[in-house]
Amino acid sequence: MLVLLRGFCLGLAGSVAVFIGASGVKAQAVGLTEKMAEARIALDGREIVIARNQDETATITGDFSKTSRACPPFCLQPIAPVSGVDTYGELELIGFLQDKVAAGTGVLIDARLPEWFAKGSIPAAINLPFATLASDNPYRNDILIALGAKPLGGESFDFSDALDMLVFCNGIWSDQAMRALRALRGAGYPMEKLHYYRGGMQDWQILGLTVVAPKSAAAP
Amino acid sequence: MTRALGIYFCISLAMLSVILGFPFKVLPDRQASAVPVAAAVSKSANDPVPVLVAEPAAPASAAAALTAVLAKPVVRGGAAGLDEATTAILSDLSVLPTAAQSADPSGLREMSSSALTALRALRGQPEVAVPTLETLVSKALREGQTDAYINTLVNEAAGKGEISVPSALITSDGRVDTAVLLSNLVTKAQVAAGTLAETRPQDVVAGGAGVEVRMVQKAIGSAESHQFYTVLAGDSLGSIALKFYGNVSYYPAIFNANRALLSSPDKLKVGQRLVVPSPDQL
Repeated sequence: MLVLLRGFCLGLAGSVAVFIGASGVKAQAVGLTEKMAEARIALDGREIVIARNQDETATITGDFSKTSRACPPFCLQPIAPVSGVDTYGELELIGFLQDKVAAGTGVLIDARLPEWFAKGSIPAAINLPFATLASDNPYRNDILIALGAKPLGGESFDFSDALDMLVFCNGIWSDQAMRALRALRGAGYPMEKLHYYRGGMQDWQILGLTVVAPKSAAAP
Repeated sequence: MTRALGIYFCISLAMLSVILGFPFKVLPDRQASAVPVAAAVSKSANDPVPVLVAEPAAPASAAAALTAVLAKPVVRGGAAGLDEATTAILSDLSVLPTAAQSADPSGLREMSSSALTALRALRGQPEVAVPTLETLVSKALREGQTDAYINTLVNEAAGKGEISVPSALITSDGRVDTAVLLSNLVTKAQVAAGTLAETRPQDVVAGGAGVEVRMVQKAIGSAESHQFYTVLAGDSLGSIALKFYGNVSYYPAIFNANRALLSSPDKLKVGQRLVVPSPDQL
């Protein structure tokens, strides 16, 4: 399996992928699928491109090349950590961006802490650190409202127009997305509106997929 | 004691600025943004806040308008209390010297502020910082607005569900008790400035409508006093704590003693008879 993967696995130079030129020079050798070389999604008048690193010799370097982080806290994650929440792979994530996020009915959530988000995340992701969704955050209910929950007074909300959420973290060895999802369930967010990208940044970068450093995180 | 009580109940903003040694109006923006942890927040405080009303309506008419929107404001859950909000506002105003350590130890406020801004932008709204209770109040204080203006401003935003508030601030008629919040600001600022020691609840004698003290004979020569309070219109758990203990921070003691009546601190209703623990039970 490992030998097979080696031929396909493309890492990143550093933790942030930068694509310049390569794809423009020749036809893409490293596509997403047999039929899809890359995904282009129009969002808010800007276009997001999700593609893979075209350097076929690239390997994982930096933070994500580690194999043996201490567990606890960095433990293996089950396929469905919160019952009722469906689990997505990379193609389903791209589909979610095309169907839900582009239509304004969904949001891709990076549940990691801001310093990780600032180093690079999936295009269009919004940083909603898992701790901000816990009930002891004074602003948790303000966040629910910003996610489209209609306040009914006190701590009651009508979630029928709330955004679909696809939540990820560093991935297969991190529990932060799971903690975010459990906190959302505790707040009453409907299970059918919650989705989990289990691979997270680890799998995303193993595949050489586009990573962007958010501009808002770079500003301060 | 009389002096201390006088200070608690005289919560004019002029007084707050005198205590702090500077008028809020001339507080330079640079000074505010010099506090690193408040970077995201002070930015929002300097931006125009869209919910600001040009002419503050009289609180009474605002109250009437609000009931049509939301019966009760959105409250903060669990342990999210009044003191956190107070600390955050004072650090916005550069009153607390070690803001980075005291105001946002877990970074929750800054992380939430960034997330709210990003989510708002996502929903097609302009990318300005979303107001919170803290940013609304600290901005108004910096502008030198009156207590009545702040009361209207906060209740209007809370009535639309735009901001959440600590549950101890919800009055028996479903409004936000800004007087208690402002009182707590004054107290905490004075304590921080070293001009006032925290009031000892033992030194406060509550009186007036709704207050009931019963002496129960325990043994020959000793009696135990039991205090009760009947909730009036406009009371919040914070205002009752202020009345009995001189300090709103003790409201959880009253809440815990009345859990059979109150499922959460915002469930206060006119006519409820609350047990008020004596100060030595705190």
